[in-house]
Amino acid sequence: MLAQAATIPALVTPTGRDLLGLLPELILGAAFVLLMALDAFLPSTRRSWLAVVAFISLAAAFGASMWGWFDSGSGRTLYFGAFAYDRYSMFVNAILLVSSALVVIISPQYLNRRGIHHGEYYALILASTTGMMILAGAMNLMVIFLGIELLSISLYVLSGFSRGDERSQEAALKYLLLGGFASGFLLYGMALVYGETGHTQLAQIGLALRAAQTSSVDPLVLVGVILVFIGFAFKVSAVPFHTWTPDVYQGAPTSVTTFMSVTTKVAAFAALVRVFTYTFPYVYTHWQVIVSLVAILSMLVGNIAALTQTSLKRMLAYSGIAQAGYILIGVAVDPRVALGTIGVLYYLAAYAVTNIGAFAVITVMAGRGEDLDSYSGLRGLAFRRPYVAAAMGLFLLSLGGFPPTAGFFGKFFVFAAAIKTGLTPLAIWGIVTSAVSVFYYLRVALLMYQRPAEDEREYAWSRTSLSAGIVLAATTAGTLVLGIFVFLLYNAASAAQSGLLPAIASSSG
Amino acid sequence: MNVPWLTLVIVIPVGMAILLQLVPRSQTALIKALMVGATATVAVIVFALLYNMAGSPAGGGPLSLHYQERHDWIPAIGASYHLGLDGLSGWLLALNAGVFLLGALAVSRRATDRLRFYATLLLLTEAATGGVLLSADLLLFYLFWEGMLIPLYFLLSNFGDENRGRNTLKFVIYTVAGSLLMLASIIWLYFNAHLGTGETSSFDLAFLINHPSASQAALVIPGVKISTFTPQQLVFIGFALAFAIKIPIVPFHTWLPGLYESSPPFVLVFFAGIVSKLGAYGFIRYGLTLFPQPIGYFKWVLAALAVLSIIYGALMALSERDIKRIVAYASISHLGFIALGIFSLTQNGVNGAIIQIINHGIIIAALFLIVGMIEARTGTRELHELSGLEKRMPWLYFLFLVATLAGLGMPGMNSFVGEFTIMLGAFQLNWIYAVLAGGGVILACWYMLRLHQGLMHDPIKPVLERVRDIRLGEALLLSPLVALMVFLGVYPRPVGDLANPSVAQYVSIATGANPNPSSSAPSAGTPQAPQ
Amino acid sequence: MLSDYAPILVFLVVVLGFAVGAQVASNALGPRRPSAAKELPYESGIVPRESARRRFSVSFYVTAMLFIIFDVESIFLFPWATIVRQLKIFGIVEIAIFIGTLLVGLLYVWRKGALRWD
Repeated sequence: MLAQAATIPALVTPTGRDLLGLLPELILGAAFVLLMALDAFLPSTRRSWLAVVAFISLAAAFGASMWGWFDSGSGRTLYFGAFAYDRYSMFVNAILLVSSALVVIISPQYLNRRGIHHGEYYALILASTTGMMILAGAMNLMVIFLGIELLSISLYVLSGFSRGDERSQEAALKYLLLGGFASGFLLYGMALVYGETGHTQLAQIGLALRAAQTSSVDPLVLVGVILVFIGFAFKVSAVPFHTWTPDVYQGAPTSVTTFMSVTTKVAAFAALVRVFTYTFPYVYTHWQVIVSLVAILSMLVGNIAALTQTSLKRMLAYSGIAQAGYILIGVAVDPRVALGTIGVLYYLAAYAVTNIGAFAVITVMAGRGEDLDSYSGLRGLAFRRPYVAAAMGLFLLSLGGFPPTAGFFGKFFVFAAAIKTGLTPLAIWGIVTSAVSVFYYLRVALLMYQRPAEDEREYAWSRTSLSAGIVLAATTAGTLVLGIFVFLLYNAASAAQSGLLPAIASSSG
Repeated sequence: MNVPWLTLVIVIPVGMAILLQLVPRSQTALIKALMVGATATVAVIVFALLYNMAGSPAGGGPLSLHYQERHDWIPAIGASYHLGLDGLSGWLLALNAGVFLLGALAVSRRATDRLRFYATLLLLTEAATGGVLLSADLLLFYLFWEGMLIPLYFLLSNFGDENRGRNTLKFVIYTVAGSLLMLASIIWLYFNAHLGTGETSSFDLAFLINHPSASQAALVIPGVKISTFTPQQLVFIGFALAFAIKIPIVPFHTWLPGLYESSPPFVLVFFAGIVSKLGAYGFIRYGLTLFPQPIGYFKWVLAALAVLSIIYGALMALSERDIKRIVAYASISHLGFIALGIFSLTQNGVNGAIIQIINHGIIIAALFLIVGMIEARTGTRELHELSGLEKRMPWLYFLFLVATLAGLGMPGMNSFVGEFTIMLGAFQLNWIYAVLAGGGVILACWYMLRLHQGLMHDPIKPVLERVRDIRLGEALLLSPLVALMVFLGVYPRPVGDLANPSVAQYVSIATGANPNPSSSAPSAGTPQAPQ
Repeated sequence: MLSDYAPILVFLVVVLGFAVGAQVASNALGPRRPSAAKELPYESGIVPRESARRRFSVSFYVTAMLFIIFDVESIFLFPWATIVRQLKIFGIVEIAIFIGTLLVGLLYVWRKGALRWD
């Protein structure tokens, strides 16, 4: 396939196999156009139909991805090496699609209550998901950029979706400006990498770096690699590129926050692993220090800043920064060790299911026309909504990494990978900061089980609707299943890792 | 028929906890009946298992487990669902079943508006502690060990006085920090197990005992050597911190007095009764077997800390005026004895520690119940506000007297047997430790009698004239405990007989006396120079 | 290698030097005699009657944006037209999808009322 890519014919037309391999992305793309058309012609009272259409298309794309999982086998490339058709991208697709579907289920009720139920919402969610799936499969620097822009632009619009709300507007603007910066960094880094290696295809960049390994590596390549990393670090909100996160998470409508806090991270990490662990393994010693440093800072700053928050959304934003730090441990380990990538995949799945659950609880909290997410709003939840409170407690424990929940095994695998490759100090640091994080997670968990004070405002909890119930039940079950029946997802993650393209360096056990 | 009895010990409480969610919250009588029923069923199963244990076949290897159950869990990394029972964990499991039954029975009426919540958490805690005692796989053990904190956190932070939130958080942060370091240590052991050709590593305890790490690499932050300890010693510190915090040994005890003070007696009977014993259990089961060299190297320090706990706890108990805090500090002192027995690394010492674990679980449960009964009636825990209760509460006086005598280690009572055996072990280690610990016994007489006399003797205060004696139900709750104190004092053999073979095995691994297959542990008799 | 970039560095220095130098020189050397007429914004010699800061209808903005979007469509059609024969049926299908998508966009714009001017 590399030979194919080296001699690109004058006119490139995709084959049927190429199109078939892109089926999940194509389904969502078509659904996006369909939704825009439907939105133009449906009366505004029938907006929930759009959610149904969006859900069906997500389910169809999920089915296509599952078919791709079995069909791709040991993996191959599409579009002359520009796109990966391997189990890794299908695994990531599955996380993304399930997350998006859960978000689509909770959205109508929440948007109606906030009074911002516009039809473009679902189209934008689908567009963003398409961008993420493209990012997860990208094997070419330009395709990576394409994916990142598609997902980001949709998210800029979505985070400002509450048009009358200044906070939401501020969030959109901040995200747009800093996102633009990030794209700039990424593109500049890509330009340098391209300039030095002469390729945009990941496979050939990897080969060029391997060839250069014998002589000294050009410092400009390293600058390019670092700049690309910075671009990704913005997207996964790792310190010191995290400053937009709390404001954007808080300002954006909660269902949007749910969506982007999970899926952006999943997609960006998927691409990060493919680019760094599998394309740049021969300059590993150079970027490992930077990645480790960013991981250490993220764990520190995220957890310390989360301690003092009084808004649930901000707390979860800082917690997300810290979680990015833990996942980065899995990226920082020696590329030859498969456990690092498996750990990242497991962590991402665990984080997705847990975080969606936690944010879903906040959407249930939303009042008419406004978001209420202060800690005091949670007080006494357990007495009025015992099941919602129990679910929220479980999610917080999972974020804190307690067994037997999904979050524990996410941490377990990345720490194990770090200890295996001699990065024990990194694991110890993760452990110390985890102990700190327990403090703020449990503080919130405890509030739900305390009775509200006499003079405190009675909080108007809306009835837990069927849709919210479905999402909470699914995420609760997911959190527990990933925490107890670990082998199910571990085997899948292991299979996803073993077929990961581009296979420049042979990785082992 | 092949019934998975060990799994049932874990599954019955969990199943009942789930089932309880279907019962309306107002049905308090039914909820309590179900809770008591589940814990009683577990107790019956556990005692039946113990009764038949001597006759049941034991597995080979370094642990000789009975009633093993083993299924694949995460086969890719060699983690399995492996349960087993030996003489040590058997008795602790019996204690576990007993104190949780007690906790289910002792729940006060004041908690009834949240009885379902309490019952759910109690059952989940029982399942977790049972899992800790039963698991024979390190990852599974860790899962239960850390998972135990979840129901405990909600229990401790929801039931008790107004300071409970802060105290609970302190406890949880302490224990999480300790147990996460243990997790890192477990992972290190897994990756550094000395494998033969064709072998893959496993989290199975017996496997890791038989495949000790041969690594001599020092811990480095790229380029900088940050410690002169061997990696095995550092890894042992990871385990030791987790266990020492749980017991707790001074100076890791600061979470205990406040938390015991703010928690209600019906929680304390099993929290003080079993949870702190799990630290001691961990030291015996994991410390002795996995780290023969490091524990030999550190035993002087650890034993010194244990003696410090004995003396410190006793002195603090003497200086306190709050009767609940007196019992809390007395508990630290008693737990110091248990730790000293373990760190003597002798057959006697460890035997005594196990006997004392059981005894202390019984005594501390009784004492906290008694303190709770007094507080409920008088509305105060200040020692100087209470006196002369003997005349108003003759029944309680009698039961409390027996508990006091047991607590101070009177010959003929259960803890005499344990403390005496521990002292024998301490003598074998070094006579200074034994002498200092003996000082602790004398102090124990002092503070226990001060507590008892202060409460019971002297003329009664006028405000206490209307205090009533304990009810029949409360007396029935206390009497089995008190009876056990006497029975185990006169006839301690059942504990010793069952535990002895296991103890012999653990101690021989720790001291390297037993030429264990493929285990080339260095002798741990003398402290070795740091490498 | 890194030395290949030396010309770029030289270029950068020269450009910066020229830009800064020109500014400094004109400030230092040029005479300055301000008057009211000179301070006025230059509008092709016509004397301005009011402030330039006026509110425009948002419709201008929407229209401008729509123009750009559909203008890009035609830009894309030019290169496509040059090789449409070589692309054969694939090219036809591809451009049909492209135009179809834009058509949906136009429908959307129309239904949302962005083409109305009041």
